[in-house]
Amino acid sequence: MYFMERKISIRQVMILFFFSAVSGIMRITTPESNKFLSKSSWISPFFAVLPILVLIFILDKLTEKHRDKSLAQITETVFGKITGKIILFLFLVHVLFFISFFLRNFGEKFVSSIFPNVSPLFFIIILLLSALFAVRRNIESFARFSEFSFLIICFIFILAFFMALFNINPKNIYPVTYYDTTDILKSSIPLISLWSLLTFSLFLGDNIRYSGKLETDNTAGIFKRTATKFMLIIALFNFLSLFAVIGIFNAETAKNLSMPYFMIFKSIKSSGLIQSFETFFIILWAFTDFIMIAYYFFILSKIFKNLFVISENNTKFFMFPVAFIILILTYLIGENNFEAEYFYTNILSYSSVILGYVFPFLLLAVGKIRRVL
Amino acid sequence: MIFYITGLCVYSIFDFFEMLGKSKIHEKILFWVIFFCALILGIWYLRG
Repeated sequence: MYFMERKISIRQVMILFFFSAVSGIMRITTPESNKFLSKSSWISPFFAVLPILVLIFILDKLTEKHRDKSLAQITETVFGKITGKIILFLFLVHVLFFISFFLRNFGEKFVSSIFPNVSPLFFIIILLLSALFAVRRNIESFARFSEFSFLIICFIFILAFFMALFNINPKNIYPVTYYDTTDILKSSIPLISLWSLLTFSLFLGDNIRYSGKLETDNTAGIFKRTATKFMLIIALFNFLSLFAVIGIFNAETAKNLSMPYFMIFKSIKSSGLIQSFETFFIILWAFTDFIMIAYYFFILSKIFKNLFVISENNTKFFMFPVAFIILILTYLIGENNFEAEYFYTNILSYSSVILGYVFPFLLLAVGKIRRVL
Repeated sequence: MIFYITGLCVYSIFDFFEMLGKSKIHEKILFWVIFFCALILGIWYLRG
């Protein structure tokens, strides 16, 4: 018998997170990744996933006794009302700037790749409005939509990799020795910074069903199992993209390209059948970015709801003015793309690690000391 | 941008009337605080 409650499963949450992690692949994960790109970087996803597996274990411990609560409610339970609200405010500010940066990045990259004569504001507003309309509806239908899209995106992505595979030059990838360990570890820093945002998924906690689809499913450790499985899929996709980028261009060339992954598909021609794979890539890119922005919008609405004690049904009414603030922030974070990327590399990426990776450890420690977790 | 600001005003007023009967007083105040923050930011951005 299927459960009738209107909640999303852990699998659906992880699919939403998958999109937010995969969206970054188009830019080689994050703007700062280019800085650390080296010949051996393609191994880095497997190194980066190790600390995230520890994080998954901590997140599971955090929610073990509070399965029906969101991270915002757990934070308030552990730290108390006032400190809890201050921490939630920091999360709110971080998510506001995070959405702003990725919106800006979306607009700028669209302009620099295919529509040089159009203002980036046009793309930003379209994406923002689409995400806004998604967030005003319920999360269940959005999660089901992304679950359906998951297989299509995976298919396009794997097909793209196989098409790129024929152009890979093995000399660009090998040899990788233990002398490259430092480079590999450096390349995994941006990945850890982005993937640690997995913690933010728990803000949807009161909408998550911590059980299988069927009543007979084994529900013990379902969060750990599903999250680990999807993190490995995300690591594999990152590996494939880095392998293709470094294998086709070498690390030095890829370092100087603004969108190396896009450049691969711009140059691929497939025996006249598909004139250029670029079109598929743009669809994939816009689509994953839309899901990413909408997903963080949902998280923003949850933080907003808990921070200002707003009822569930009324939260959606606040999203339009908040979206307008985000729109202005997209331009306040930097006058040009370089300034925006500087802002991400030097501020947002560190705050992601602090709030996404360090904070759950702190929360668990305080919770255990106060005996509320 | 000017279209978006007009949209913000019109859409927000509709939203406000929609939530009017079913919201608490602090929600109504918060709504207008955020609305005016957004509006002031928008006008400030437009003025360069």
